[in-house]
Amino acid sequence: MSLVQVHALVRDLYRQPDLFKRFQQTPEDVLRDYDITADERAQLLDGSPGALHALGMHPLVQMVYGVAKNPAMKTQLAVTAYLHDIGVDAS
Amino acid sequence: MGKIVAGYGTAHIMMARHSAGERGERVFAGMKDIGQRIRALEPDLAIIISSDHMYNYSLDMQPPFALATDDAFVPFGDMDLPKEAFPGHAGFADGLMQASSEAYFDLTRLTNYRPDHGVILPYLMMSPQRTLPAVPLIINTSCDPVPPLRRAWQLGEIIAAFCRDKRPAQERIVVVGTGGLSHWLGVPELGKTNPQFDHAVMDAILSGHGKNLTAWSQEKVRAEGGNGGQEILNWVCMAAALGPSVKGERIYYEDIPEWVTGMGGLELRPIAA
Repeated sequence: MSLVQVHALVRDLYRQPDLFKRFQQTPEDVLRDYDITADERAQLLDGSPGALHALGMHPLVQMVYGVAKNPAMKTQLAVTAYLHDIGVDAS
Repeated sequence: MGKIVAGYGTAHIMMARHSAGERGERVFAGMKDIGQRIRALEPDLAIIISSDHMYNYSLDMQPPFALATDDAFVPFGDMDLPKEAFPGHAGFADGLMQASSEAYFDLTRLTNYRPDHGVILPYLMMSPQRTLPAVPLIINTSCDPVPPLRRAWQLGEIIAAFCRDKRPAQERIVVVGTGGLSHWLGVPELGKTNPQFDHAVMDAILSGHGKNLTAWSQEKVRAEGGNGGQEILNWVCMAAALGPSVKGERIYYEDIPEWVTGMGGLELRPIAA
């Protein structure tokens, strides 16, 4: 059951910043290191909510993966524009 | 005896500024208002009841109820949130672990916990300078089986008894239940919300009848509030800690499909006996 490998990939992505950066640049290369099927690889590279749901990825894991796969999602989920207005020094 | 001086329910997420227009700004204003109210109460600590978004939990293990017992926390940094540390309260947390055990309620101890947005965003609203000690209480709201609402209520009652009976005189505590309300995440219904569900939850809690929500089955919550709607567990636990003798005030509510969530905030103040 390589869904376990899929979730292991996502766990590695957020625990290993270097892997995260490499994935954003060349996701195909990173995916080669995981024992997943061709279909799973295709769905991961697709990265759409529908593909990830079809893959059986846990909903919250989809959020984490989406941030790695989709820069627009990372931008949509960034809250830095609010911090100054609540007096948070985020430097 | 310590005193729970107020309870709050609030959303624990926002998305890109101005991506939900005035409705998003009203949510932000409401969250700031809650932070200001908490600061005005001059609490000694805050219990923040929230979910973990798979940064500490994993599919390997999902404790139903877990308490973060460290004396300081370094945020995980998701959503580009700052990673500067903020204080915990190990003495309080250890005592609550013990009290819970004695009440036959199993709490899992979390150490080296890295708070994600579910804790740090509400925390920064109430303590932007990161001075208020916080005790994060994590409820599994995302991996089946999530605990029944009745269990969250039981834990809230244990928190109330612990604060009342075991904590130092004059200690002032706020309890904040975070998340929700209705939302569907990672499923085909993504983006759906249900204001009727959201108002039913808020109305029950505001009127001091939060316990009525414990009659709701998980199936009902999932059907009407979405898989993300299970985060009302955090609100129900907070409501139980405050008990039925409360004065409730709705602070904000906005249905924000752009943020895939029905977002609400409220305050409960205890009515003196």
